[in-house]
Amino acid sequence: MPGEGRGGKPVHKVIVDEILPYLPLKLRSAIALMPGEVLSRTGEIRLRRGRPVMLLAGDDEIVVAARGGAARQGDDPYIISDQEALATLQLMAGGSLYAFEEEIRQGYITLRGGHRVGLVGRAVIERGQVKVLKDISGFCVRVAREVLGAADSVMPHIIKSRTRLFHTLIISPPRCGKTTLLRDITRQASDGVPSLGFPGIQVGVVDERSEIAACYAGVPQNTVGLRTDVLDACPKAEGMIMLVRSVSPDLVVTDEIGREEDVLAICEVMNAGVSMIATAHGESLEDVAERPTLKSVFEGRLFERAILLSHANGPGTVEGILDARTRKVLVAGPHGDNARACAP
Amino acid sequence: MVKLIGAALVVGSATLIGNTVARNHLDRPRDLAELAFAFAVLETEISYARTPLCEALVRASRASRGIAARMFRMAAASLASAEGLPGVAWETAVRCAYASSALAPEDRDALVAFGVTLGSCSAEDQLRHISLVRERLHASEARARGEAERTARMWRYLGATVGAMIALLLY
Repeated sequence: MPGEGRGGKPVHKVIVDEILPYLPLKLRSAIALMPGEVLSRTGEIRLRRGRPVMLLAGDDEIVVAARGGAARQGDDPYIISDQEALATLQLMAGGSLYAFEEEIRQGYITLRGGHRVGLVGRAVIERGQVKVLKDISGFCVRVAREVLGAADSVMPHIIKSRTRLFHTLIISPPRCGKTTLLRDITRQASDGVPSLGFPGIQVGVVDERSEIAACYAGVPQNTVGLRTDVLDACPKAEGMIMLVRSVSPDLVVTDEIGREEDVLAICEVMNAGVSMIATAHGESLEDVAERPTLKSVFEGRLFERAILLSHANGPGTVEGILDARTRKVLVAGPHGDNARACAP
Repeated sequence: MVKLIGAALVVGSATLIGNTVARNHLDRPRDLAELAFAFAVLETEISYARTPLCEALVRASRASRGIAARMFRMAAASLASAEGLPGVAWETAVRCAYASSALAPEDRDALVAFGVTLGSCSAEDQLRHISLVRERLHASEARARGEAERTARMWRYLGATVGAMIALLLY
């Protein structure tokens, strides 16, 4: 929903109030001079050391001028200096890089307000694993958007009974609204859907990358429902088991499964009689089913429903809802063929 | 009579100056101990809870007294400001607090040097740097405590003696 950020606040206000304070003063002023119309469409701010600052507004890329505002032909672009890149990192980490060590190692920082900043730089490897990212050279600031009601069309198809949801896998390529949909399913499952006679259940979220609830200092910045417990920044596999043992959820929600240990943890959760909703990257059910680590999920027919998303009519376009066991198309989206193509 | 009052004033002033300098020497170990304690609190905050720096500085400031409380409070306030970078915030706080403290220039330099790594390294490194600065503060405190009594006594005597000498010369 362009123009609206978290909690219905206009996006340009969200950027000015919640994101610009994390940028060095000069850059802050330059972006603040952007027309409100551009800021309200902005989804990402791209900062790359030694290169121009860009705003991604819908399908447009807008370069920030050195004098501030949008660069026109002949204007010098605003180039991020080494000093500014360093200051940006310090400001985003609140002057406490040690407190964000794990997040930086994983390549992101979550700002107050749930805005995620992807980081790139030079990886320092120890025993084959990334120990730390140093010489940070790029920041991809993604403006948090919460689309309340994004799951309205899918809820009737994933509610199994008054206390259970179908084990559901949401499949989509990146930037198609997987996490937005997952977040709203979480909220609705937790708060309940009176129109569907669903009273709301205990929900546990394992938010390894702080994308679903966007916790800042342990407090969810996004609306995830009144019966939702969030295990923030915890590895998925470990977190799922921890949640089942510690807070007895009726539903466990997690994002981007893909490792073998995730699959084992999902089996544990399902065998404990707890519903499971997860997401996976992919174009179709076939794509995901062919991934070596997820093959066993489909061979074991663990998931009952699959929701396919695309960018066809903007982020969050539901291409189809399938019975994941029989691969029968339950609901075909605007491009019904895409969903049918997934069926056998 | 006037001469007598004048002489008394001279002796009194010189003794006061001597006592002030002596007190300064006695205050330094106390200031160093307070700082070492505040750093211990900071170390706990970072080691146990990875508390963000601004909040960790505020907590260390609340737990301590005197110059340490002032220095840590100022650093937190400066860090929370618009362009708060931890190194700059810390150095500003050290220089401000130093002006009203009994610390020696070498203490100030050690504290300023600590700021270079503040908030800009891993938790493990940060804790190592805090540990190092605490060790330096403890060593300085032990030395200062040994010297303080001796030096303070000397300054007290010196103040009174110099005052008396000046009074005699003027008489």
